[in-house]
Amino acid sequence: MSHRKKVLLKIIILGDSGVGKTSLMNQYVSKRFTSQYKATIGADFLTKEIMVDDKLVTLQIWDTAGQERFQSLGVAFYRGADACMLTYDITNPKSFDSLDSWRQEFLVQAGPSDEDNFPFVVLGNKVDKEAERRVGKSKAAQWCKSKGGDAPVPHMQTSAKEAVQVEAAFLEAAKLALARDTGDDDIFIPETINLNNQQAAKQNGGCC
Amino acid sequence: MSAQEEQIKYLTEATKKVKEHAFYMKRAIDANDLDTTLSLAADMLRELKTSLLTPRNYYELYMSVLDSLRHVEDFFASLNAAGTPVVEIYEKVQHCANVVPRLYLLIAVGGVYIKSGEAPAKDILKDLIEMVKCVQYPTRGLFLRNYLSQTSRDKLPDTGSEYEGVGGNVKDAYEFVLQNFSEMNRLWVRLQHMGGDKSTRKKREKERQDLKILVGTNLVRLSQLQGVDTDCYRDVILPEILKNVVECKDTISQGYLMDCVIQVFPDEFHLATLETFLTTCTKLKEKVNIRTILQSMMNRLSLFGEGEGRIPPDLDAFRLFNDCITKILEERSNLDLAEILRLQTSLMQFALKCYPGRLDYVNYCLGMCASVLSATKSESLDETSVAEVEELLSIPLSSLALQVLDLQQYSELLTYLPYENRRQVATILVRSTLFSGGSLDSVEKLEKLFKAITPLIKDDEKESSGAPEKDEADEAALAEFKEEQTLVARLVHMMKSPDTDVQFKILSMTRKHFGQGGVKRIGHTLPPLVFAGLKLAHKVKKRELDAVKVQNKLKALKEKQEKIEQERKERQAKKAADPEYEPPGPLEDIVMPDESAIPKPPATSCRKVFQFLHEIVTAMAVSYPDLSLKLFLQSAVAADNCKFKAIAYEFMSQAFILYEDELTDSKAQLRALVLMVGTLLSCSNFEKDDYDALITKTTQYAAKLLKKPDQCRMVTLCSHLFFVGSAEDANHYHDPKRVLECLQRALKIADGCMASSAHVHLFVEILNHYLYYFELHNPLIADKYLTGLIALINEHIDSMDHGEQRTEVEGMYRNTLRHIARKKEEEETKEKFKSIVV
Ligand SMILES: Nc1nc2c(ncn2[C@@H]2O[C@H](COP(=O)(O)OP(=O)(O)OP(=O)(O)O)[C@@H](O)[C@H]2O)c(=O)[nH]1
Ligand SMILES: [Mg+2]
Repeated sequence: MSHRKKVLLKIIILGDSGVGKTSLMNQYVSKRFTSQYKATIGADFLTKEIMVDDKLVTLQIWDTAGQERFQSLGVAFYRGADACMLTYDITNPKSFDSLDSWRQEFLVQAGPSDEDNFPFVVLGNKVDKEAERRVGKSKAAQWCKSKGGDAPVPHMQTSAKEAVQVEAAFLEAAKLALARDTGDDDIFIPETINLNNQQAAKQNGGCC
Repeated sequence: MSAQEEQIKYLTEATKKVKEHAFYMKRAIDANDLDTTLSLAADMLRELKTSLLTPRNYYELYMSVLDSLRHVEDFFASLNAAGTPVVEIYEKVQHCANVVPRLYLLIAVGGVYIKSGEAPAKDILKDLIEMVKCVQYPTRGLFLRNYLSQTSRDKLPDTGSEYEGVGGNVKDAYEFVLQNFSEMNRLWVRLQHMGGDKSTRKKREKERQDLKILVGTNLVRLSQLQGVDTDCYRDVILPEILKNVVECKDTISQGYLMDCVIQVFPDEFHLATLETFLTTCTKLKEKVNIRTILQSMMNRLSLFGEGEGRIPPDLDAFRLFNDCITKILEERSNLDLAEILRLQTSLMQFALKCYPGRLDYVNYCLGMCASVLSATKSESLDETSVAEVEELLSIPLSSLALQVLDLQQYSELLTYLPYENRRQVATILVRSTLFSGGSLDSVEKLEKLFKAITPLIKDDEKESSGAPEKDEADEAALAEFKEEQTLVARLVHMMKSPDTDVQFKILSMTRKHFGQGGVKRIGHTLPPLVFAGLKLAHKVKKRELDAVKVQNKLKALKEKQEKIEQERKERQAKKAADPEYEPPGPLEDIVMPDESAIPKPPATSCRKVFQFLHEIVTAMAVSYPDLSLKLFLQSAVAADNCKFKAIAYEFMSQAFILYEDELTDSKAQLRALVLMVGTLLSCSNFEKDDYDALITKTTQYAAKLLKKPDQCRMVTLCSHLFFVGSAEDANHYHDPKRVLECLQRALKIADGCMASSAHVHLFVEILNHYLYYFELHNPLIADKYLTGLIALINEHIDSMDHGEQRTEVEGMYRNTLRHIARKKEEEETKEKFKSIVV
């Protein structure tokens, strides 16, 4: 990657409808929050540039639809992801139970090389509603431990509403993505030089 | 090759080409070579010209192209940062010969162009949206426009955005998105009409279903605009969306877009535009499932109503939904009965959630269903409609419970259901009644309830019976039946009127209903009624006693009043005779209590309650002898408590008759006898002759038990019937001779148990009873019996086999002897126990 000036990281946010994926992204990118629910359709990204350990990084953050019927074209955008944020709502146990299948689906569709050590971050969102908590921290921690490879999956308690741990969560995802060996970036490697591209190859020759 | 394999092959090849072009393109970028970059990017983008891929596969290809196009965007931005005006690149790109690649590249440059601020955002957006019009092939056009939408997303001159002002305003922003939406919807609809036979039509439909999110995404964009407030949504955005929805006249599009509008825009917007939205619903194509659209909107609003928000009081949402439904019912002839019922059910559900106090709304929905049902010609409902009616009637139960019976229409609708379904509804009704925890305190209420739950109370006259037959005993059905009857039985605990007369009426009518249930039901339902009756008897008795007390007090007061009156007259006479006469003091003024304040004696007497109990238990006696015997005994104790000697005796006699006639099982006999002895010991008001008769009988039963040890123990126990209370008690009963007889009889029986070597155990037990009477100073229980018995035990215990049985007996015996030893030491008992030889 040395020849590229900027590092671009693709981060996917997954989780059931209503857990706050869009809210987390909006809080992170635009510092905005609304209590209104507006469903997401399909998948869409916003970008944000940040510094990670003196390195300029562009985050391409993909917000996805939690409602299945709003994902009719499939999940081609999983491919090439560098990190994945699995989100649940601490007041909704069902959304926590779904993490398993979100994770599984992601691994199958994105097909990263080292599944066990792919950078996931688990977010327990809406901690501003602590009084209504119905997913215990230890239960979530245990799940993170069971799904982690060499180290447990990082688990953060966030609030998109009150901007609690939102920056930290995205930074964590970015750091994990950077630390990962990006060996499975499927870069095209030319076997033979075909006629069509001869000209291009000549012009740009010798750079790799 | 199958179509699917072909797709995969094609996709793989195209993706490979994209990667290849991208590879060289990135090299050109690294070499800072704009022309080569553009030509290679165009090569890569040309892959998107294909019309061979299905939407899902096209999406895959599109995604990998976009991944690389990102680098081109970055390259443009870096060129611009280094001093190249974007307009130069923009113009260069115009020369790209191929339409699709050119437009993608123009959009990519356009994004950088807007960011650069070299030209107003709105102008560039207008330019782009004009140019993309030339792609009219649906799939390609939709994806191209999706790219436009994605790229422009954060570059719209929305309120508060950095592009607002020179770049335009929110109007430019939403007009751009609305235009893109409108065109995309058109392309999407057109795909349907691209010719082909029936099988391609199905394929087209599938493709359209896959592509729909591309169209819907535009609505998401609109909902994200900060400058769009409620007014703007109501006046511009929604009307424009709905215009497209109605005018496209396409079933798939209409259904999907209405669903999107509901999901994508916030509650506040919906509340402000509900009428417009619902009016549009009535204009949709016949095949659009309006029910799911309405349901979805009602669900959303009721969640809002339950949460922090409130539906504004000036918005009559129920009426609006109802008008819409009415209109649809009028205009659509294709709706079947079940669908109509479903519509009304969801409206009712909405009313229950958002207008909890408005029972009239619920009743109204039920009424609508009733009238639709009564208009159907056919004799019986089809299965789906039956299920719908059952659902309709079950839903209000959880929140309204018994209140449903106040709804006129409810009971009427019940009659449309077959017995089985009515039984299901009845079970839920009973369950929620129990759960609601209120009290069943009037006969009228109960009449209604029993009518509604008739299928649980008795068998169907026409059809099968609710109670499963024993021989065809399907276990699940039996368990279900049992559970239902237990539920019904629990209703009795809720019957509690504070007025004993009303309570009696309640229990009597309940008994009438339960009585029709047949043998299998009454075993569950009548016993709790007996217990309720017993409780009532106690209360009535208290009321009677209170009434007597009050009457006595009144009488005393009246006598006093008369006396004072007499005195007054005497004093007047004295005064008349002697004007000098001075009365000794003022006379007391007696105020009689107000008639209405005097507690009245109950209209239903306690005696009558017992008569009622007698009838119930007698009714179930033959079918449930074991249970009924217990209930007779319970009633006897209660009657004795109320000092009804004769009634108590009658209950006892009934129990005895049951014992003799119906109880054949030896274990049941033993259990019954223990209860009978217990009952007799806790009664204290029998006439002496009656008591004599009862206890003699009981002892005879004891002696006739099947097993010797049982005989022995029961006869021993019966001895206590002859020695009740201490000598100082007014109604004590002491017959020392019969006590001794019982014990001696018991010893004799024990002696006969030698074979099983249970005899030593029995001896020790009997010894303990001897001791008991000895200590109570029963004159006939003399020390010599004790000494003799101890000697007997000593002799037999030695010949016992070693083992558990012996250890147990020895332990018990040791305790007994220790007790005697202690008594021999204690000051008060020393003398009495002296003569016992251990
Ligand atoms: N109290 C609280 N509410 C939140 C928080 N995050 C999101 N919400 C609310 O939860 C609801 C759903 O949030 P979204 O961000 O739209 O959820 P989503 O995961 O994007 O849902 P889909 O797009 O349907 O998949 C909205 O009403 C938000 O206001 C939070 O941290 N605290
Ligand atoms: Mg969302």
